[in-house]
Order: sequence, then C-alpha cells, then structure tokens
Amino acid sequence: MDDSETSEMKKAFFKTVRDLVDENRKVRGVLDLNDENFDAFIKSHRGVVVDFWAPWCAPCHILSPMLEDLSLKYRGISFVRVNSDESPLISSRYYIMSLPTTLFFLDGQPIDRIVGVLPYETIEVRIAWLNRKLYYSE
Amino acid sequence: MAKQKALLFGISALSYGYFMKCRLKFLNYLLSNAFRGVVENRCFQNASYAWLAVLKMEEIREEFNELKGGVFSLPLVEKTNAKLVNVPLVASKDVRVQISKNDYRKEIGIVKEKILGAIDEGPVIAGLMALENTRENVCDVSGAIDKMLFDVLKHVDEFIVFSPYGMPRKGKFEPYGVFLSTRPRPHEHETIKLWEIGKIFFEMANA
Repeated sequence: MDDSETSEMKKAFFKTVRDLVDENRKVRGVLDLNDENFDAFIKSHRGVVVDFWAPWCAPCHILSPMLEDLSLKYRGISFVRVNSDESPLISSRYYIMSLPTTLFFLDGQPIDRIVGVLPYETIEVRIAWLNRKLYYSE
Repeated sequence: MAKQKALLFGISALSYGYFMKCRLKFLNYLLSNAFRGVVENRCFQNASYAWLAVLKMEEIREEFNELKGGVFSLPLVEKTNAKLVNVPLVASKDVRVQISKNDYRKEIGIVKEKILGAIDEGPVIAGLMALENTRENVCDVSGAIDKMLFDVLKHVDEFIVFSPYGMPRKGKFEPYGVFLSTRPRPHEHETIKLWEIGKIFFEMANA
C-alpha cells in the first residue's frame, strides 16, 4: 500500500467518523453539563467547547446564541454549557473568574479560552482552529 | 421642582441574542454604559400578563379575565400618574397604536412620537410589540428599534428599557429578557423579576 492509498484511507476514515458525530449532534444539540457529568463527558469527547454562563449574566445571553449557531456549523466539535452558579466545582477548577468564559478542550485538556464576548467572526476563527487540530494534527 | 423625565419602555421579544447578531449600535452602547440585567419570566409569556405584573408591582399568581377598575387604577400607574403609550393591557385607542401586525415602522414611529410628546409632562410607560410580531426580518426591526431608542433616550432623565421575554424559540419565547437602565438591578447575582421592574420605576418616577 503506497502513501497516497494510506492518505485516502485516512481521509475516508475521518469522514466516516465526522458523519457519525454529525448524526449524533443532530440529536444532542447544545448539552447542559454540571459538576457530576462534566469529567465523563470531556474524557469521552475529543473536541469540546464549554460555555460557562449564569442566568443573570447579560453578556452570556449574547454569546450563547452565537455558540449555538457555530455548533451547527462545526458538528465534529461538541458544544456544551455549564451554569457556573450550579456547578461551582468545575468553575473553580478551571479558574472561571468572570462570565461568560469559553473553554476549548482537545483530548481532555483545556487548550484555549475566551473571556467575555467577542465578535462572531473572531470566535469562529478560534473554533476553526480547534476543528483543524481535531482532524488534521498527528 | 421640574418633573422627572422618566421612561419605562417594554419591548416585547427584545433579546440580548440580537445585540451582536444584528449589530445594534446603540443597544450595545447601552449594554456597556448603562446598568444592565437579565429579566427572567417563565410563567407569563404573554404581553398582557407580563405588563400586569409590572404595573401591579407584585407577582401574579392567578389568571385574570378583566381588570377591575381598569388599568389606570393599577398601583404603578396610579402612584406615578404616568402617561401610558401602547401598553398591551389597554384596549383604548388613545393608548394603543392600532396598526396591522406587519407594519413595524408605523408602530415604532407612532410610539416614538407619543413618548416624545408626553415625556415633558412627567413619567411615561410605553410598550412596543413590533419585534414580537416579527419572524423573518428580525434584524431590520431590531435596527429600527435601536435607532428609535437613540432618538428617545436622549430626551429623558432616567429610563428602564426591558423586555418581558426574549426571542421566539420552539413555539414559545425564551424566558430571558433585557434590562437596561439608569438604575442598577436589585440583586447583583440574580435575574430581575417583572414586578421588581415596576418597583424600580416607581422609585425612579418619584425621585
């Protein structure tokens, strides 16, 4: 088997995985996680975007619809929300000092964060970066 | 002593979600420079009920069929002697703007004109339904509201701009609305309830 065949097989494999994840996302939507189920979810999903929010936080209500919209665009990434008031353990573990904060996880590790609300296009650049890492890094 | 130019302005279905999406310049300016909060209303996703809670300044627990004594006997209206503009509880043509549901520009124009015409006389309580009746051109309607707010708020001393619920979602409205004001929200780490808005305006109008 030569290199080009291996590369084609790799591409086909990742496409199948992406399709499966896409199907899964259509059912799941943006999930709400808490102190109890957060770790298990992060361990079992490769790329995760976590929106730390609270009901009383006005900018959080600006950010959430943008992330929801992006979740439909980047279906290979899992988009979840954590209510910081109800999940203080997870919030303090990741030093969530102000809301909203968005954390990016790759293979269980936090690799990037956004504090506050940024324009849609800027958030998308960061998510696209995570997406590339997810599928194209060795 | 000159009367306080205080405005309580309820815009049904205005949502923080539109602020960035529709690039609403003035509302984003207010978000950064005025006191802000989030209105939480899971029970009364109907403009009349929501306004009743605001004007009664107390939690509404039961259904109402008709207002005994009329809207002008409701505590907030009675105690502030505020002028009503397009408040959904009132059927009177003097108060409601009678237009077709799709004519948002006309509703916004008339409400703006009536607020500006009344604000020098004392407190004004106004409502706008244009966004609630919109499903498609949300950003156009939001943009027109944004411009109207800029034109109106520069003529008032104190204001509360709120929405009793947010954007339409899955056949209902999202339970979170907007609160922007010259007065802070009552509890820093809690959402604002509808009757609390009435109380804040009462203090504002009687300052």
